[in-house]
Amino acid sequence: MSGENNCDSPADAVTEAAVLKAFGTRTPPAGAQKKPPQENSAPSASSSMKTSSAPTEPGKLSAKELKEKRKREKADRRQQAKSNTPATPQRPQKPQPPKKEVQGKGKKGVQPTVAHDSGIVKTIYSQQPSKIPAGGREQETVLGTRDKDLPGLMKELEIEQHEKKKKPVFGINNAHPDVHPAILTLGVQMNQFILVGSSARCLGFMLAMKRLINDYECPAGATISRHLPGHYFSRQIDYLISARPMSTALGNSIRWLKTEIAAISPELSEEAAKKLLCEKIDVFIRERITAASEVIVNTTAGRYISDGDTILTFSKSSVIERSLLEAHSRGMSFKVLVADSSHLFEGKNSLTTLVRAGVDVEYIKMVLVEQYMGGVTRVLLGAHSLQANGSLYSRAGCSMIARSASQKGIPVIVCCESIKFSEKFTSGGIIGNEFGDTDIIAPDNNCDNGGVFGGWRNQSTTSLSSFMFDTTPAKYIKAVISEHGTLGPTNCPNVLRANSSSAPLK
Amino acid sequence: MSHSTIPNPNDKPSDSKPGIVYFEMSEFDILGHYSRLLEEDPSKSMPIAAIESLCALCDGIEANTIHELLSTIQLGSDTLKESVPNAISLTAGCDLFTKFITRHSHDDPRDFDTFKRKLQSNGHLFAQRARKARSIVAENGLKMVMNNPVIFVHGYSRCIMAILLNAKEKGRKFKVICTETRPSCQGLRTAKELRAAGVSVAVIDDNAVTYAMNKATFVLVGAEGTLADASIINVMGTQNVALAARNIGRPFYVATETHKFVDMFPVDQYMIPVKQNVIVFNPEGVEGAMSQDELTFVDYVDPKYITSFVTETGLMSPTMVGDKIIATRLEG
Repeated sequence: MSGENNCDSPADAVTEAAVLKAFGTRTPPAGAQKKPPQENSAPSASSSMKTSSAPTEPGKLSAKELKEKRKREKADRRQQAKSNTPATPQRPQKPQPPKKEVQGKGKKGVQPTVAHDSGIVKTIYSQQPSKIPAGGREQETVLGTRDKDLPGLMKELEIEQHEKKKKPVFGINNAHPDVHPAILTLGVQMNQFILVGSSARCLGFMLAMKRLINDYECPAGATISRHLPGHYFSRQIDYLISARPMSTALGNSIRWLKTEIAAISPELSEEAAKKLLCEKIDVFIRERITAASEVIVNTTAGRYISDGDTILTFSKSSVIERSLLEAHSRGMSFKVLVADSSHLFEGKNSLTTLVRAGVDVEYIKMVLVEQYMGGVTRVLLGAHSLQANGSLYSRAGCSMIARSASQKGIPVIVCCESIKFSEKFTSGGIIGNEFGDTDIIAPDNNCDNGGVFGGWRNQSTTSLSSFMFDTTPAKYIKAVISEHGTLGPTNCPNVLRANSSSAPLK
Repeated sequence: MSHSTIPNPNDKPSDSKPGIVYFEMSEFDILGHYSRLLEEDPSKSMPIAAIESLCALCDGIEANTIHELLSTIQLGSDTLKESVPNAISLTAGCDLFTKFITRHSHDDPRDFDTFKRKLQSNGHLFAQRARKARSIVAENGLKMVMNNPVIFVHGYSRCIMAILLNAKEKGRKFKVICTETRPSCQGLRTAKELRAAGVSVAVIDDNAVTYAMNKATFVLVGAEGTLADASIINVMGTQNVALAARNIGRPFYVATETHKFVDMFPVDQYMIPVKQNVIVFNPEGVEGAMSQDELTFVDYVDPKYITSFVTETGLMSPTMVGDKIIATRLEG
């Protein structure tokens, strides 16, 4: 979300170390845009939470200090992790959770508290719970209080997002003790929008699962193919869902992983099975994420960007960013318009990268797109998922841009790996959508100083909603570039069918 | 296949001419063969001529391994594609043949000689089937000629001629409005052949498309190539006709054989792989429009203007056409 530290590029993050490194650069400079609202939102949020069910936290510190402290701790931790990989206090403890899990079978009730009060979880994330309210939880309290005011459809969404799930409240302390530390970390990263982007989340999950599988110990009398995909697995997933609603890419890769685990021959020794799984995960990452995006970048840069083009992109997509850079490095001269919504200001990331590479870029607000559209020759959009009926489900704002472009006869091209192809589709953009932070619309400092949204929380008739995604109908999309070449938007089921029948991953 | 070493295109003699496949020992004039085929039989379309040329190439060479055979075919089709200015429909034929041979190459690698003979006979069979496709299109298209329609035709297409002549033969009553299609005057050729068969034809000026559209029942055009997004490539002016048909509310049908489906995906008319200088600002010594002496300009019609395709597999919607092309790609 902030700065250039968006761990969106799969290539950068193939190894865990690279992922960590990417996060390392996260804290400092370019996040300036996003920070103020967050800093301001944190105090009010945590204070509102304290009254209800505040988890154990040193209440004396102000929120700002807390944040500083957390930052420092995080930096220290990273330093440690980098310098002495095996000797840190955290590392040897890694195999702990599986052991816990084995014990936990018998006395589930007692174990959790013990684990959280003393274990690795506590040491690493002691400060996290206080921060959580800024994201998901505060959202929930707000929505909960003004339940009666929500329009019908949104109420459904709310139910879908929070009540259906077993664990509605995200938090390290609410996580089941079986949840592996790597998954815990991943959950926090997703919840805090440190790790954003569909493919980045998918990649992060796969890497975390590799660590989980390495640490996993199969209980006596069970086979890995039966035990691992069972409750143990679903607890990890439940926790991740509580952190952020599931994305299509993540869902697809989870389904793939489960089938792979279930397909392991029971004759295989535990060690061999684990090794096999890790290898398969590596292949998956390479084929479905890294190589796929490589192919897309090559196709886009080679065929769909030509000299003299003016290309409009929206927000940030790592594939499109890389395509533009690739085309630039091939010596093509073209102009890029980066449209951005004030949602997460993700377009600023693209802007930074492109400007550094020397591409001719112009940065515009989304509301001005209509005016600039006349001079545009191509629109390139990234995807969160591509649905079975060919509609694109992507960052809120894509729909508007695609509509305006196709009205003027400008081809809209979507770049999307086939891992993001979904076999479902939704009508309209509400069901399955995700609530973003309302602080983006009404920053707390604005409210407190009597700004436009002053005191909106106390108004019983006012409710704010900021959706993360929207749906672009297939008729506004000209082409979808995937690793299987260029497709029409409605060809996505063909690819799914071909993938499932030929099973290229074996 | 393309990275094969045996007949390497870089080993061409220094005085190499376009359209000739060079081997270590011999050479084969594939372009000559191709143009001869087209000249001998005017009813032969380009993809079929391409397939037959490749067949002849296979017959003519001494290939000892399957790899050699495949790379020869690849080289032959690359040479052919390079040597003609508009290679869209030709590409369709070449790609189809290559795919066909490749698929069968896994069949029986034990005895290469019998295998090669089998492949060659298969190749000829394939060309034969492709030729037969047009008569099936003509049968399928017959169903559209009902209730004394007035059919709007643009350009000259063998598929359309087959449908209309077949309909006339079967005693269906219809009239045809046909554009001149300047400067190639393909429309005049259509009109002449139809009139010779006893069909009443009105020839109109190219500028009168929208004027005449109201009098037509539906539009029927052929296609040089059908692309993966179900758009078509056809003689310049087809898009005018498509737009007029859409605006005036007439169905727009495309008659084509499935061997003209090409796996290309342009997103607009400027991306089609034909270099044509239609829009030139202040050209030297040219007063009017750019001359089409060397190359007949082609036009791109977006799938949203196309009602449906008449093919040998029946009536297909644009979505079905796209699906079919993509499915073929995913299979291979």
